Amino acid sequence: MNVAIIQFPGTNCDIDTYRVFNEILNVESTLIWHEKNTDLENYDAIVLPGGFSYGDRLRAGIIAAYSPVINQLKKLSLKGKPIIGICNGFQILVESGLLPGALLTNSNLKFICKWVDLKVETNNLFTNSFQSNSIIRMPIAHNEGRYYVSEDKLQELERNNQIVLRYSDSDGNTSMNNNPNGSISNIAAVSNSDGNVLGMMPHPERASDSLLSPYSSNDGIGIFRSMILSLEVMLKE
Amino acid sequence: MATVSEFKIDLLISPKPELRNPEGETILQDLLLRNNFDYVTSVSVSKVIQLIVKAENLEDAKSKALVICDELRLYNPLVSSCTVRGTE
Repeated sequence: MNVAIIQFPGTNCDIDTYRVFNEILNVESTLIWHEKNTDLENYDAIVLPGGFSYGDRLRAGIIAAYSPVINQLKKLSLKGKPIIGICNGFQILVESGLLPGALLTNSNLKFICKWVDLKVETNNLFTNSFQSNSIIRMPIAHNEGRYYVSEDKLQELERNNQIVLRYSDSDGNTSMNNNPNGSISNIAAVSNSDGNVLGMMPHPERASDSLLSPYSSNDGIGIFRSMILSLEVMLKE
Repeated sequence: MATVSEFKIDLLISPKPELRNPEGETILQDLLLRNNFDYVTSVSVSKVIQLIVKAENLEDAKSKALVICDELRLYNPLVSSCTVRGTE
């Protein structure tokens, strides 16, 4: 198995993500420069890590969304290839139309860097190693994380189980008090309708080694582990 | 043969009114109303992208700018609108 980790100018969570795969999960991953024309068909999954691609110029994620590598992602997403966008990677996925919605400046106009509780809302490719309705901890670190979709689209996301994580308290209450950035319906992560493309603002790669976590949390690794376990099942079929 | 000139095109990218505009809200609440400019009822912050466009006339320049706006998503139509203004 080999996971492709795509690097854009300004990506800065690539090495952390690489280490999680190669050193904690013992799954081979490869750092791939976005302009290299690498055939991504040869990889089992693709990660767009966090950072500040193109310095967030024009709008977070928009310039990277026009990189040729995104055309490959669009084709591969239709074939069911697992794709995760984390933080800026999520912003790139919404700007490229691979995921619905938009990510706006946080409602308090501040860059927010803190650990949050998240409620696992859906059992899918990326969450199946968690028990349903689990509360997990991961850090967020972003300026543009206020997820927005129209009311109609929100209902569609609910119906299709595309809302993957919601900001909550440690008891799973998803009220505005537990909403760090003003996201509609406390949404922290969504998937496409087929469930193989995931965008999430929290950083699972920063919560994958309990030694490095102030709360001894390694909940983040569950996202990657779920994907790897699902892939192993898919590859056997 | 038609002469080509340069036109200054401003793309005014404004948030849609149904969306909260936190920067505008702060200016209204914490600057204007706090200082008793209570005849202002709403503030919204937009962005201007200025292009110098080579075209045959102003209308041509505006429509060329609009093509870029839509094809390369200089604005996000889900959350904002774009108004094109131009001068020679």
